[in-house]
Amino acid sequence: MKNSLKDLRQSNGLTQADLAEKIGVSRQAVIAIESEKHDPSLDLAYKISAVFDLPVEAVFENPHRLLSPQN
Amino acid sequence: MNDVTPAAKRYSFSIMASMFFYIAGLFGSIYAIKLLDLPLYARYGLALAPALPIGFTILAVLKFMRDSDEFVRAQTIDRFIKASGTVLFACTLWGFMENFADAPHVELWWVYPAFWMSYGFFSCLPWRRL
Repeated sequence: MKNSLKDLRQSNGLTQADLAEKIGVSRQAVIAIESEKHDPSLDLAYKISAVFDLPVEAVFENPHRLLSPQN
Repeated sequence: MNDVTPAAKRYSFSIMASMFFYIAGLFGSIYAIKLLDLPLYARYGLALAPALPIGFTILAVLKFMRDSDEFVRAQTIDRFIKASGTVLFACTLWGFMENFADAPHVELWWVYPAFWMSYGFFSCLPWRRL
């Protein structure tokens, strides 16, 4: 799942370890999410978004929305 | 920076403790069989001495999976399943080779190290979801 996590993290001056501690996961998990090797669960996606005070879709691109008829 | 999680620390301790009891149980049972004239039922029972700690290592892995975050859990489960499948296939294949082609007999206790060798192999590969 495409995301802007790395850019958000760096622009907020956080290391991977800092972010991992804030959301309660390992640094490996943060690396995997940033490199799009792992799609976070809904709960984790909400935790990540809360760190940056953004809606979930501002952090994680919704692949289904691009396919909707309205678009 | 310390990346070792509490779950990983508990897992490492559990494995080290289990391996200590495995080695103690293995050597103890071998010496007991050699030095004592034990009845058959006692020798069957002695087989538990090295086997039970092995069982505890499996429980330690399952606990590690449960206590880890979602990514480490998914990765560990993925490797565990692939290693299990590989060993199941290999054991089945070799079993039929023993029956059909008189292949050399392999002791069943090799399954456990074979599983971990397989797990180690899959751990070295770039991780992909199942």
